[in-house]
Amino acid sequence: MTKTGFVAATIACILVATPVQAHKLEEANVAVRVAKSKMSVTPERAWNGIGGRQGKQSEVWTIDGEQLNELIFFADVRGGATLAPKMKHVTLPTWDEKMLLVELPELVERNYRVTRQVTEFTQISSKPQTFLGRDGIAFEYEYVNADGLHVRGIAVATIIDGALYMINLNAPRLNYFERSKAAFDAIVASAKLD
Amino acid sequence: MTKARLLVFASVLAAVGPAYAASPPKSAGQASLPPPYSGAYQPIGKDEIGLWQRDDEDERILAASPERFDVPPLAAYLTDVLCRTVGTDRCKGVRVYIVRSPFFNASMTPNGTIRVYSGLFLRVHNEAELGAILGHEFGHFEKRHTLNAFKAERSGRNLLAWAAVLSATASNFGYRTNSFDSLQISVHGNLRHFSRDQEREADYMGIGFLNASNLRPQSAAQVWHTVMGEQEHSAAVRGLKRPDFKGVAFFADHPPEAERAESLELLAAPEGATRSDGAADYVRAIAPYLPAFLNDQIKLNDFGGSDYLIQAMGDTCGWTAPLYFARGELYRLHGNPRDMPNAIGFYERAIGADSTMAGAYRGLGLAQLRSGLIEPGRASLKTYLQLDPGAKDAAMISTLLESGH
Amino acid sequence: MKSARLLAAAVVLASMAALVEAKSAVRDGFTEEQVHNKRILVFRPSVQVGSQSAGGTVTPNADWTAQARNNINTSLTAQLGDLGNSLIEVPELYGDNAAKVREYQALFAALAGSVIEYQFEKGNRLPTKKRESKEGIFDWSLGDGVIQLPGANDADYALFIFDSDAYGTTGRKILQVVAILGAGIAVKSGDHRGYAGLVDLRTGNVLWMNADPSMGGDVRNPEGADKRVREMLAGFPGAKKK
Repeated sequence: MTKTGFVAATIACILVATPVQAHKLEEANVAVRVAKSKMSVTPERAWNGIGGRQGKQSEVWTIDGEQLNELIFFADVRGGATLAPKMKHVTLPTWDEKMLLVELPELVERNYRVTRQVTEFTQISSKPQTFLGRDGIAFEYEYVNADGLHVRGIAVATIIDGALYMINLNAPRLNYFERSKAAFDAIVASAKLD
Repeated sequence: MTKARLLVFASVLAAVGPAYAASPPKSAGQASLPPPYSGAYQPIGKDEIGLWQRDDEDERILAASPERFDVPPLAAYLTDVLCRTVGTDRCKGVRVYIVRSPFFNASMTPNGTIRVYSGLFLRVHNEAELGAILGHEFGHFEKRHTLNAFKAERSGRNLLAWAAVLSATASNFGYRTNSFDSLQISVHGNLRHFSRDQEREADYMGIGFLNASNLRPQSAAQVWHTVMGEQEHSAAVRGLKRPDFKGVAFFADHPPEAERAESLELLAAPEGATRSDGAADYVRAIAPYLPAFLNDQIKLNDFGGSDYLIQAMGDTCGWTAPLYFARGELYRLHGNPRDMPNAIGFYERAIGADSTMAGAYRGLGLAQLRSGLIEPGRASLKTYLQLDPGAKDAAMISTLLESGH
Repeated sequence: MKSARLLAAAVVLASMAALVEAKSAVRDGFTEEQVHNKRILVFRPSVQVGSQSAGGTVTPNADWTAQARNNINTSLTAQLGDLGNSLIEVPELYGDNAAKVREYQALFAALAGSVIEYQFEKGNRLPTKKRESKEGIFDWSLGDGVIQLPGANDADYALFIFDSDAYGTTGRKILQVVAILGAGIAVKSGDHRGYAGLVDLRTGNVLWMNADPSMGGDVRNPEGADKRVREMLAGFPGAKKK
């Protein structure tokens, strides 16, 4: 390659690498299928879908950016699957079809401890809640993220034929958790399997 | 610093320097007493003053950080062990901070803070081992290795950057939007890579402190055996052939662990062999916090490493209900059908050691249910609710008892 | 050949500038009148200044940091004081108060990160933020819990500031040129990041924010610090233009 050619290639390379991340608008009151599954939800307010950052059976939405409110849908998660994309040097916990609903908070905790370098993680509560028309669980927790921010989380889940279905919200405990909770509840209440 | 003191300081360095500069020969016998402490020290030169000031700023952040494990009695205990290791005159200016992090690490900043990761408590089993680690870090501090390492890193990274540019094929101009990451460093300390010679020197000083203390210096080598064992078991369970010692922060750029353990054994003063290693006091001091540290460890999802650590602690310090319970949790969370009978056995031993341990009944019940032992499982869970009616998951467990799933 | 390379470098630099937009925004309805004769709480600005070698290692420099801290404080007092405001510097805090301030600083950092990534960066805007930007809405808040911040009862607004500076050493400046011409890695010579935001202590609403990943002005001298503070206060209602 000539020097000029190399420079041209470099410029081309830079232009191609321009971030074109189309985030998807999720309109209010429009039913939409999530996580490439049969689960659909109808949000009461507009959200933004963020592409390409999660595992296969999941999808991420946010209102103000995922550091401030992060909504993750998990659907049809089968045995052996991880809750987050696989990482180098660490083994992620996997969903196990024999797992009991009451053990789910522990799975979520282990997942975040490993994938988000969380060292301080507290389970706050867990109680029964109907989800997708079945017996399910609702649980809350709090952790300190890698930036030293206290994050509060809530998840509602059920197990259908050994597959996990879960909607999970993470937001700073200051202001954003409360601010996002109603929108989360509305989405959970609207969830159904087609 | 006055000229006179500078001169004294320089001569101390000169006198001590050659003895430590090279790796101590293995035939040297036991390590001798460390050099006399040069007194309250103030930083000298642009680099050192800058480092101290950054560390002062870091310390302010660390002190208010949520990652700080702010438990004064445990910090006081660490200070006490440090003082008994290096001598009370030396340890005076040192501030001890515990960082909640389930990994094996400890560091000391040039301005005199020592940071101990909570994971260290699972990897040392007595005061002598703890003293060896603290003395090692203190050795870096006294020899001002950080400053030298910093200067070395600066030139080392220059090479790396050039190499990265030369081999780069794609553009990369993503900028970090969150400037708060700078603060993160403050909590965990700037990861410093010391040279092998500096590590040997710090080991040499650490064992010298132990030799001169009332603690048993032969214990120093044991820490390295424990951590090597952990890495080997972690790798074996993951199906890896060779353990990844580089993955342990404390190990990066350290002399090979086996060589290190061997050197430490040779350098320990023989007459110290009959001294106490302070195991009983150590176990008593960490007991209130051990369940939390064990919980942090088992949820790291490192089955082999965690199992090894729990066993090593049980076999060395004596098996207690929290250790049996942690092992039961580890096996239940691992989740294979073959893990459940083992988990049940460990929970039963935990209950044998402490019949009021509610969590052990919970784990036992869940493991029994997953093994198809429905009635015993229900009975265990009922006992759990009786022992801890206000448990965070009481409503879930009640539903489980009613509906069966 | 030399001129062709320089041209290429210029094109590269121009395309980078288009991606990274320095910006500020003001909450709807927040005007110059509202920043007169107010009491503004300033949390101990985290100022670090050092030099950056070719490898990126930042050597902290105590003298520069002390100078910068003084210069920035002086400039801030002068520039905000022009508007009749009084600055209240929060003293060093300990214990729960220190933890509370740190948590709000972490929240502000997360919020600033979101604003930069998803509202200021045009190509990467979240659809709902794009819509809000079009309507002139800048709606971000730390929540009304900010009233619990130490000193909040005796102030109207809080100013959050972060500033980090590293001045390139000659080695890094040379590397920068090579990097741009050779392989397409952008290596900034020096890293001058700063962001600032004004928060209403009664509502927690962010009234004004400025986030600039590459600011100018050498904060080691008073003139430079003035320039930096002016840039930091860009878009601040009533603040002097450059």
